[in-house]
Amino acid sequence: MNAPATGTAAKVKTARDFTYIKPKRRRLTEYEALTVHMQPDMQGFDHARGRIEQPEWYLLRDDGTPLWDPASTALEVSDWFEWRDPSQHWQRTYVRHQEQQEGAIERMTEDAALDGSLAEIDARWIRGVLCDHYRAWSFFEYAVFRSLAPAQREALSDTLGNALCFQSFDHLRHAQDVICYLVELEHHSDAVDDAAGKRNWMENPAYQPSRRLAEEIMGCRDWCELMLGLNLVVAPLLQQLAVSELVRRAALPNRDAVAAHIVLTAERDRRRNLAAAQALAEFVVAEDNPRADANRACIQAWLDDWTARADGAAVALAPAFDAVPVPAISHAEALARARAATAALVTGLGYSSPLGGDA
Amino acid sequence: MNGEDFIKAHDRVKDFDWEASYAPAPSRYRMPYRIPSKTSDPFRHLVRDYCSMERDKDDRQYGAMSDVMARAKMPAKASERWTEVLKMVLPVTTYAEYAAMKCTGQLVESVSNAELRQGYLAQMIDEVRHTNQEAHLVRYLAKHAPDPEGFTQGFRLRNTNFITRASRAAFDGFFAGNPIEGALNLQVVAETAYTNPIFVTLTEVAAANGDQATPTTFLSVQSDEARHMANGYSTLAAVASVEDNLPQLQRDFDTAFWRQHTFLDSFVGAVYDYFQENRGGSYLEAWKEWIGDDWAGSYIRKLEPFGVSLPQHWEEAANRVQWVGHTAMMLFAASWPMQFLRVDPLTAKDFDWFEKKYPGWYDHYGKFWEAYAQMTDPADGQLPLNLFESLPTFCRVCQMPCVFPRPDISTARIKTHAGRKHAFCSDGCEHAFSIEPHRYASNYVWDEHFDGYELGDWLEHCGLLRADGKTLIAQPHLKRDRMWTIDDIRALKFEITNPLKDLPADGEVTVLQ
Repeated sequence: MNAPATGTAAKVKTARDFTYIKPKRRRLTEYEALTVHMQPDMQGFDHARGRIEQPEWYLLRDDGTPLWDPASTALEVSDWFEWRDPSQHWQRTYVRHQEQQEGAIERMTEDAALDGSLAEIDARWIRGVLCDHYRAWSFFEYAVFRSLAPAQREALSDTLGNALCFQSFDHLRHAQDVICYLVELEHHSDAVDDAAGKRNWMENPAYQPSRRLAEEIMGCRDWCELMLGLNLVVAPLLQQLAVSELVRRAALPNRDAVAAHIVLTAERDRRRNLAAAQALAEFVVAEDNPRADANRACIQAWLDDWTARADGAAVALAPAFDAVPVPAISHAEALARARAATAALVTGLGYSSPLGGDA
Repeated sequence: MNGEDFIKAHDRVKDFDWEASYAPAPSRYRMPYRIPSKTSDPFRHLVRDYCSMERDKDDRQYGAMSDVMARAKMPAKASERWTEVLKMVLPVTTYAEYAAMKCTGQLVESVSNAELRQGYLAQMIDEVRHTNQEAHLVRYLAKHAPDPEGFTQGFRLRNTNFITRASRAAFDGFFAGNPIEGALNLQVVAETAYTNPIFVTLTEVAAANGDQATPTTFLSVQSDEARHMANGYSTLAAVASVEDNLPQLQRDFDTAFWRQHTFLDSFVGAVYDYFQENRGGSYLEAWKEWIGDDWAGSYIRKLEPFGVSLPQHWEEAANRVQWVGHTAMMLFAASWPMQFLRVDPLTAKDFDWFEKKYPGWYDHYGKFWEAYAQMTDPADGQLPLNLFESLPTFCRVCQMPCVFPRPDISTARIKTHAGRKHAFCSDGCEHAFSIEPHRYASNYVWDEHFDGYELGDWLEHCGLLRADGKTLIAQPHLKRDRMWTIDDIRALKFEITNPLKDLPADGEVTVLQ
């Protein structure tokens, strides 16, 4: 065994952790230690501070712009690396969480298959809601996954990039869960028509505003706009209506516990992502940020714009509610609830909402 | 879910993409390739299976480290010579993983193929996993290694140390260019050619030297790499299937290979050969097996019918491998005060091993190491840097010192472009510059940053002192006494200079279109 260090250096207590990371709270968390400063910060942490003052880039992008470009978002803060994900997820905790959720869905599906519950589900629910609607909605989830993967590439810190990366994964998980559930249901019902979802997504007028929004989301280049628009507006307004109100709330009256459970896991992810977006919204308008007012104005414009588009998509989904065999909630009521919740969320953050309510 | 259902589900997830009709948006990344929409993801992963598999692997790896190894104080039992080099190796590999994550984000955006996109997503999370795993290993060693100095600082020093700067220059190639250029750098070259010698063979060296923590981590990392190699192969096969892509593909492949070779073969070669205490095989042997035979001889040659050839400078690289690790290590040891780990002198047993594995080694490097062994005591006031006329210039492209493959047969040259002087270490790096000089416009090399710094001032500037504020983190030996202090260094009055300023240019870079 090697002897402990002696001599001059041993007389002073030597740090045994990453003391260069400024912890958000008193002690450095595992999340912070394994996340913060993984991404180079050429104007801050990684600046050589020798003879060259300007930030350096070893290799620019092929259009001559820097690898991480402050212009990738309209918002400005002095140090993006100070942002922390409230969930404190790093890969191990995140994957463990998703493995638990997927394991629970898988076991529940298996149990429902074995006890005959799946065979008892009304064919109209399977065809009219799960295939025509929920499967169509899987394409929306897929679009969100696609939009957030490059958003994590462009994010201006590791903490934000990782949060976007995990959210990207959330949405593909949800999209795939719909497929996996329908595959299982095919063993228990003749009503399954997997292709119906894509047909509706591409052709049914009720889904075209949602598809337009999905395509716009995939075209959105500002990663902060995506993180805030998706989680502060699209999730509480449109996903709440399309998935939580229509599928989850109606699932139990229609004897489909599995669909309800799948949505519950997506809602858990949604709460996590909402907390991250709220933390971002508060972070960029912190009192010591000289750009706080400009950021606030920018976010207000984004929220107004995203609200109008998401609300239009939510309104258009009315026909989907008519397909529920045992209605749990009307479209009008679901829409009113989603609008109220979104408005409360947005005004709670100090912004006005086109859905009602001032900051 | 049974096998038939799994195949059905997987077939359906391949059909998630659609032709945008309301807001079609071009990729934010320039994409000079056409990708066919039908390819194959040979791994057929669903998120559900992926999570289950990765959780099991995480539990095994982190469980082993927190339970058995920490309790048995295994980090303290490892060879100290070997443990020292992990202070630099791990921050380097950790950044490679982080850069890989960025690459996959670009691929998801740009490759119009739902199956590949979902394969890239799994890799994206894998890369977060590897970043976390390797950072966790650094932190673990900071807590448990006999000498934590260097482990606690490695990430902070990556932009002031001239070796870790070069690692950035290599790995930025994973995501700086078009998404396929990134995939070539990452998946086709770094992962397929180099991860086996790094994560497999190097772990054998680690284990032979009493280090169980690194193999536990690295082998768990490597268990994901087969999927990434398959992603790379699928991407490459898809790109190569469109004939119009081939000229751009070969150009990007040539540059990608050279960019990775210049750093990885020098760095991994030095790590592999010079930090073994209980000696086994050489890096050259590992290179011939994994990169020469498996990668070039099998993987790439299988693509020749599709029009993909071995990289332009392949033969030159194969010849350079004999020497580049030794040259890099000589410079590394010569500049030991500037590093953040301890480098002990070679022993007679080491000398024998080197001459056996690399015939002719003594003639080129033996005298240096004999002199190095005589310069370890601060009382003698000798720096091995003084064995050389000056610090070398650094390559504008790969950021490595311009001394390769060996100082006596260096292929360095100095050129000007747009009124600015640049050193290049090789044809390959000059070629990379000549086709895209604008991409190096914000690039500086190490001695441009620190020209004129007195070495003691520089050490303080970079924070290369131990907790007592006097003793250097780096040392030219592993002994607990006779450690060098800032005062010993200041007494030598060594000044960092930028030789590029005074060296004449050999001509103008010929810019290629």
